[in-house]
Amino acid sequence: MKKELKTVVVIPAYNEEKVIGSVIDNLKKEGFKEIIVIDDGSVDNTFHVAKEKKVFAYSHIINRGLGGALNTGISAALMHDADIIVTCDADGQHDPNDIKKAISMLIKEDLDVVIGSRLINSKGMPLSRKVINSGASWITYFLFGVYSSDTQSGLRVFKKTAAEKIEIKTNRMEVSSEIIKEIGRNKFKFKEIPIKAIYTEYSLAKGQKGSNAFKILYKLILRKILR
Amino acid sequence: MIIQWLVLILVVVMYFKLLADLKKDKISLKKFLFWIFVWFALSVIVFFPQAIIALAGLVGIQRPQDLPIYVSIIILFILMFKIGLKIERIEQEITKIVKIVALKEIKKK
Repeated sequence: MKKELKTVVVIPAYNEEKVIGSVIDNLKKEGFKEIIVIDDGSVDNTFHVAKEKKVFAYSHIINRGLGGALNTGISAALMHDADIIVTCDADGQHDPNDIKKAISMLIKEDLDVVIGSRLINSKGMPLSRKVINSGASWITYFLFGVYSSDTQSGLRVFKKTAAEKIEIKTNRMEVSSEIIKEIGRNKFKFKEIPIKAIYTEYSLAKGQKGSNAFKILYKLILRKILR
Repeated sequence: MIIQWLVLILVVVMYFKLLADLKKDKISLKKFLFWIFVWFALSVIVFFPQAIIALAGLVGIQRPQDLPIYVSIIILFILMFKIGLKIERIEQEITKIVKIVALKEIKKK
């Protein structure tokens, strides 16, 4: 008999009280039972909104950035005995159906990691963002030898064994590229799946600014030199 | 010149202090050698000011008095870089602590 795989969705959230509730509702509607929200030291009600939705919520006492929150979230999911770990942005830009597709791709093709790429089908993405993202792809490839069309994507699916091996050291936004690096280092079987990005005014305002790209680039190069 | 003798005394005193510190394990060997070198360099400069001029000429600096400025800028850059690294490491440590605090509940189960 095939044991059902336990899927845990991890949502790192920082000041997302307005949307986190509906993001959780949408995930639940699509049948995701275990959801872990990592409140990354929000100053608003993110933590309580998540708690009210009856999901697991853990709170950072101070803000540590996306990398820190993801790291905590993945560890929490492993402690919850997850077989498959999904990371998902809290701003509502991911479609739960895309998550399902990514999970079934992971299982069917026996992969270690699947990343949802907003760029394979990049309709609706603002041009400035397209340029920054593709620049990031090539730099990441150049530095770490793994090509991903969307290095900054927040939708990722990990197999348990892969999640256990991933080491996240960066605290902030560079984490997305660091995960790509870890894919290369561990020689994970990895594929991308095209996903829709729901760009709302809200998610655009919350997302990364273009100027962040340079900060990320600097940190990545620093990291590369130090190894 | 009186300044030369003063510096010489200072250097000798510092050497003894460094040696004592090293014996008491107050400083690492690396730091000990570094400071020995710094004080030695100082005494060389005081006794043979021409050495600086020669050194400046050697690295292609025309005005010898510019040399210390260039050297300090380089040292500052190195220090900045090191501090940057240290902050990065401290940030990682903080994140580790924050994570442990956040996940305390699960471990109890």
